[in-house]
Amino acid sequence: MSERQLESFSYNDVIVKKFAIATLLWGAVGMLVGVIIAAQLADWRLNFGIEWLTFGRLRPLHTNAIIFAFVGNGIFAGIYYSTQRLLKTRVFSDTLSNIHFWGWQLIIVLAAITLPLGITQSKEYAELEWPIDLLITVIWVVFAVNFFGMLKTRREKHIYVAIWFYISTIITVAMLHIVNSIEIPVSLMQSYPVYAGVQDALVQWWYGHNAVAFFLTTPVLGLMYYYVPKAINRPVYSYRLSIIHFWSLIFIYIWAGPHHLLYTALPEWAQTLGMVFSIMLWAPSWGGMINGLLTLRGAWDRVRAEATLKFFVTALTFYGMSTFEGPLLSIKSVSSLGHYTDWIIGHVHSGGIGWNYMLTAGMLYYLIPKLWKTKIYNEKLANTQFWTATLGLVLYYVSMVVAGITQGLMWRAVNADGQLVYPNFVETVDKIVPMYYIRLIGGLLVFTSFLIMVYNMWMTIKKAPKQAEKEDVYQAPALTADAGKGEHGHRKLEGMTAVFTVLAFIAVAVGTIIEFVPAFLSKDFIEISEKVKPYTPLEVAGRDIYVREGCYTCHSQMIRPMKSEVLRYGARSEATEFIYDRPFQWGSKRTGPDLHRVGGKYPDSWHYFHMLDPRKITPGSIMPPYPWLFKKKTEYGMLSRKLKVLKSLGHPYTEEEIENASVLAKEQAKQITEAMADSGVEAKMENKQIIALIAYLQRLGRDLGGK
Amino acid sequence: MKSEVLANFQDVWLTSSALILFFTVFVGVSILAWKKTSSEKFKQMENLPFDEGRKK
Repeated sequence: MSERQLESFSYNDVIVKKFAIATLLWGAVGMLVGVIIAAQLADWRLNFGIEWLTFGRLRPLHTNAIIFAFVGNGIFAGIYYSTQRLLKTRVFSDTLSNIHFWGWQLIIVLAAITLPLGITQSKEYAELEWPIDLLITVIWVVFAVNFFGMLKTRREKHIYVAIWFYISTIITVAMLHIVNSIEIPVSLMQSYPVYAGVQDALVQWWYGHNAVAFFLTTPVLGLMYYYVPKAINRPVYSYRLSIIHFWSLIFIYIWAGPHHLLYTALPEWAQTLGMVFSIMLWAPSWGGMINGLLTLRGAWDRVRAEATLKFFVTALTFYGMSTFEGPLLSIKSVSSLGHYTDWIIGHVHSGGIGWNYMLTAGMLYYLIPKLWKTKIYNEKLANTQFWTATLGLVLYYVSMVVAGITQGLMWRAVNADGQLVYPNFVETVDKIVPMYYIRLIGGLLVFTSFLIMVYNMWMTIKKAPKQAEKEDVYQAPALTADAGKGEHGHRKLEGMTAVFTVLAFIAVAVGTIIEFVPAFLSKDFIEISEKVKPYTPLEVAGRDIYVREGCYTCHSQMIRPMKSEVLRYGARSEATEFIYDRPFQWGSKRTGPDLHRVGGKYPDSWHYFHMLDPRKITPGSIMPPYPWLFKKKTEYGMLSRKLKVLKSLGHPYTEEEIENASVLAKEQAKQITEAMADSGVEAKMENKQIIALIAYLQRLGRDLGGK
Repeated sequence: MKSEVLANFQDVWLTSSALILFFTVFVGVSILAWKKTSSEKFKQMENLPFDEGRKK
């Protein structure tokens, strides 16, 4: 064996500090936005009539801020700190680390500007428009190069389980983001996806589900495998279990996306796959939770005294609870009750607050004193934060589950005569509004708890002794060419990072390919009906307004094949009806009723006055008014360009239609406005956005013979 | 070939074979992980977080 020479090196902790501070900053912002939109659902007036503050525009900002800004910065801090130490090497490049940091913050700032402006693709957690998508790709590649560079320059042959989870995160998120973001630009701030309708829904929820899996779960599990043993100062309970946990989790997780589309127009086999694999997820998820909790064996007395451990234990407990509830909600019969209701909102917050917030908080309580070489400013404050957050989470979760199950049961209640017991949708909303106030209190408590942590961390940093400019120097033997020789099995694999990465990619690619190939190659995937026609130019304009205002955040466009749904909304939605829907607008929540067959259900004037003052038309409605649609003009000038892009994607527009798109749209707008003259609508309104939106809404669900 | 695969997508033998293949891999990895001879090596692995290099 060759001589292993001792090498000196240092860790770049400045980058870890930057990401840790950004986690605190964006966590506070993301939660504040969450509180604002929770307040708006309790009282619709709380957007103050400002279009940038409406629920439809702020809800994507909240989800993006929490997922990518708060948790994102947290995982980058945790990954850079732990990977350097586990591999006994410095970050591959200080410059790349800084590009990664500032590039990611730029993406967040761009999201915070564009989403309230209504610049969105409306795909959940992938709302950002194409220039930002490109920037995300570049910055993710920078991160990947920096990370894999550390693997290349490492001084430890074997890669610890935490690193496996980081590897799977980096390759899978890259795959998810690139595949889901293939779009054709119309302008600098608008694009249409290459996928339409059912295919768009399948790709989007493959992405959406796996954003939860590979952004909110796998990297955080990696952090758990590093920081829990470090905090408790004892190794993970079972390294063997971690091997099974890792491989089965990443293999199974990727298949489960279609559980977001149960009872939709997605083919039955894909729904069944999604459901079965979701149920299978129980096993690896609980394997991981048990592994984490048992790491604390024999040290439970310390949990009572140390806030860091309290956060970790609660995180693992909520990880177990939400990974039990997720598969439960994926069973078709349970999904039929819970889907589109607040139960799902409760579920994601038990994961988001219980798992992500708690684990991130535990990690920061471990990291920040270590990075600034000090002790936590006030341990009692950390305990206060913990109990405030836990109480807030319980109030949030319970209120949402109660609201969701209550409303779900009311939606499906049918009397002995075969009629809906609650035919008026607003009746079912009215019953759960008190729960929205309880949720608001819960959210406020969680937000307050976070501010307590920000203060505690701020004071910890402020009171820390002034640090020397020079970094600490460490020594470890260099990695020789024959390191790991004579090893076999998984241990050998852990030394072969390239092979490991390829195998991890295969594990996530299998499910993706099996679900996607038939969807994109089979002619039978969607039965095409000639009755379904592309949208008129004015309807295209109206649809883009619908997307901009985030209407999909409160209204679905998918009638499930259940008696109560057909009674309430009309004939079930068929896959063929969505072939010109780019992006698809099926939604995932019904704060208001489904809109797929709203076309022709009411007169144009109903929509006109409803958008102006919802309560005048529907007493008790919690929808905000949209007065700016009555002032802003429709952008007729862009329509030719939009139709041209849509034609390139397969929409059968003629050259004449494309050339005269603006004229055709104006004609239709004039007809709609004139028809409303009797209701007091003035002719000058014909070029306003409300008319385009009405045109779109009145077209919905009519091609196959709706009203 | 492509259309043949797609046409047989719902063939129970095809899906069963895939199931057996995946299950075999799972059992294989489990055996690998729980081999008694690996104990010492896993002990070394699980202690990696506690070795950050020697501080100079």
